[in-house]
Amino acid sequence: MNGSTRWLSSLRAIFPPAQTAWLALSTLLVSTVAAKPVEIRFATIAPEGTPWSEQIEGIQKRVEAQSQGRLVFKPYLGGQLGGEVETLRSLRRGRIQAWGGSAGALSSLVPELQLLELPYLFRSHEEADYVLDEVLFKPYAKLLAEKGLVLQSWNENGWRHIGSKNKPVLKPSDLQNMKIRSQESPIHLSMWKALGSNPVAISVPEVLTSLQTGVVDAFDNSSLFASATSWHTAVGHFTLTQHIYQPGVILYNKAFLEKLPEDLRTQLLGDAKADAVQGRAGVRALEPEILALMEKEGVKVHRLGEAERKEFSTVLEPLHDGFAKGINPELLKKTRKALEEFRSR
Amino acid sequence: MSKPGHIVRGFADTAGLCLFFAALLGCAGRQSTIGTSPSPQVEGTAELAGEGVAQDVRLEADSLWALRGDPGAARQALAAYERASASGRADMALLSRLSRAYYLVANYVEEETARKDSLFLKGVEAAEQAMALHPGFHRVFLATKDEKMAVKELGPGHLDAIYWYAANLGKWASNKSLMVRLGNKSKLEAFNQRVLDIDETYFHGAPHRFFGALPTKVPGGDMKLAKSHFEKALAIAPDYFGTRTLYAEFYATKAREKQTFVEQLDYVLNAPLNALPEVEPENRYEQEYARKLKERVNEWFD
Repeated sequence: MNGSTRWLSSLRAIFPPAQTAWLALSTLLVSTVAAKPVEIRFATIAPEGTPWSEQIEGIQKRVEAQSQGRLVFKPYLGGQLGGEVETLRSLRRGRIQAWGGSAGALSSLVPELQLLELPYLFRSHEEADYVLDEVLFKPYAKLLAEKGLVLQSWNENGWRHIGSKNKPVLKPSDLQNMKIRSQESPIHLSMWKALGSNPVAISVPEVLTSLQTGVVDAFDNSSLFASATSWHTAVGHFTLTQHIYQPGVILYNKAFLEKLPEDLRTQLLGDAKADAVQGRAGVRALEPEILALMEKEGVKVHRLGEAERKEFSTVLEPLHDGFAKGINPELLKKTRKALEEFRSR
Repeated sequence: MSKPGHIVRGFADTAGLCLFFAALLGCAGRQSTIGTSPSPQVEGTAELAGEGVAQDVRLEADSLWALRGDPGAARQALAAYERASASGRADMALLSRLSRAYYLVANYVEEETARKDSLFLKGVEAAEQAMALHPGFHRVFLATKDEKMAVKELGPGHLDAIYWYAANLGKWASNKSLMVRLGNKSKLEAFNQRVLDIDETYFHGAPHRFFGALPTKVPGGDMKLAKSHFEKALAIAPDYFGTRTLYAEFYATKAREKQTFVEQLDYVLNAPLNALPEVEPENRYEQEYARKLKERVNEWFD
C-alpha cells in the first residue's frame, strides 16, 4: 500500500464514501494549489551537450512530467557549483539534492569503490554492465546509504587508454622506463610500476604542460577526457588498452529523499537500469567519433585485439589480491564469482 | 528604445570561450566559404569609407553603429553593413565590421536560438571572406585546408578579422553538441593565440578573456591560469565590463569565490557607462547582464 492509498483508507474509516470522495478531492485540490514545488538542485561537472547532460535532462523531463510540476529540477552543469569533491560535500550537507560524477571522486568516501579501479577487472562492456547492475548495485547502494547518499543509477566515464609521445604502447615492455603521468592513487601507482614504467603523480591541471615540457611522456585516461583537456595534442599515439573501466554515478541526498512523499520518491528514483542503459549508450556512441577527431588532428590510434590486451592483463591481474584487504575482500570475491559465471555462459 | 534580447552569455567578444571547446571547417554542418570567396585583391585594411562601396551606405551604417546600445539601432546598423558589403567591392575592414555587427546583434539583441545561430554563422562567413582577401591566408588555406596554418599569415592589420571570426565561431559552437565543440576547440585556441601573439591588448584584452574562460570550461582546467588571464585582461582594460561579468560567471562560480563574484559585479553596476566611451553600448548590455547575475548570487553561493 502506498502513501496515498493509506491516506484514503484512514479517511474512509472516519467518513462515509460520498463525504470521503469530496473531502479527498477538495483536500487534494487545495494541497495541489498550495504546495510549493520541491526544488532539486543537481550539480555535475559534465558540460552541456554531452551524454551525461542528456541523461540528466531525461531524468528531469520524466520527473517533472510524472510529478506534474511538484518536483522541479535545476541542473547546474559544467561545475557551476564547484568541482566534484566540493559538490559531493554540498550533497552530503543537503545544500544540493542530487549529484552526478565519477565513482573515483566518491571513493574517498566509500573506499570499496576502488574495486572498480583494479586494472583489467572487466574485459568488456558486457561484463562491466552485468556486474555493476546485477551484482554490485545493491552492495554499493547500501554502502552509500550509510554515508547519507542514495544511488540512483550508474552511468559511464569510459575505458582508460594510454596516450604516448614518441612511440606507441602496444605491449607491456613498451612501457619499460617510460615516464607516465599517474593519478595519485596506490592502485594506479602500483599498476605502472608493475609494467616497468616510472609513474609521476601529477594533478590534472598540470598534465598538459608536463607532457609538452617532457616531465612525462605518457598518460592514461578516457578518449573523451583526453580530447576535452587537449592532452591528446601533446602525444603522437593513443593505444586502446582498455585497462580500467570507470563508471559514473547519480546520487541523491538520502535525508531529502526520505522526507518526500512516496510517490515523488518513486518518481525520482525511476528505473535505475533503464537510466544506466541510456547513459552508457550515449557515451559509447561518442568514442568512435572522438577517436576519428584525434586521428584527424594527427594522433595515431592503435586498436588492440583481445590477445594483445591479454598481455597487459597477465601482468596486472595478479595485483588485485594485494589491494583486496583495503577494498573489501568479500566484495572482490563476489565480483570474481559473478565474472566467472558470466564468462562461462 | 526597443527591448534588448536575452544575453545567453553576456561576454561580448570572448571568442566563444563558452567552449569547453569549439571547429570550423570540420565542424558538423559547416563548410568554410574561403574557397568560394573572391580572389584576394586587397592586402591589409582599408578605412571603412574606403573605395569600391557605396559611400553613403557605409556612412549611414557607421552612424547607426554609434547608436548600437539601442537594440533597434543595432539591427539597423547590421542591415546597413550588409547592404554596404553587397553593394560593391568588399574590403577587409568592412567585412570585419560586418562580422562584429553580426556578433553584437546575435549576442545582445536577438532572443531566439535559431536566429542567433544564423547570425553567428553569418559573422563567421563575413570574417572568413575578410581573411581570404589576404593573399597569404588564401594561398595557405587552399594548399592545406587548415585555417590554423593559414591564420599565421595574418598580422597586426588583420586582428579584427581574426578575432571576430573566432568570437562568432565560438559562440555558435557553444550550444552545439560535444563533438562540434571538441571539433572547433583547437581552431579557437589557435585564432585567439594568434591575437595574443600579435597584440595582447586587442579589444580590451580579448585574448586574455578567452584564455581566462577556457580553463573554466575544461574538466580539471587550471583555475590559477584562468584567474591570471582574467587579471591581465582587467589590467589592460579595467572598464571593459564584459571581462568582469565573465570573470564572475565563469571563474568565480566554479572557483567558489563569492567575494570575487560580488566585487566584479558591483564594479560593473557602479561604474559609469562612459568610462570607456568606445564600448559604451556594449557596457550598457553588460551592466544589465551583471544585474541579472547578481540576483542569482545566493543560488550559486548558497
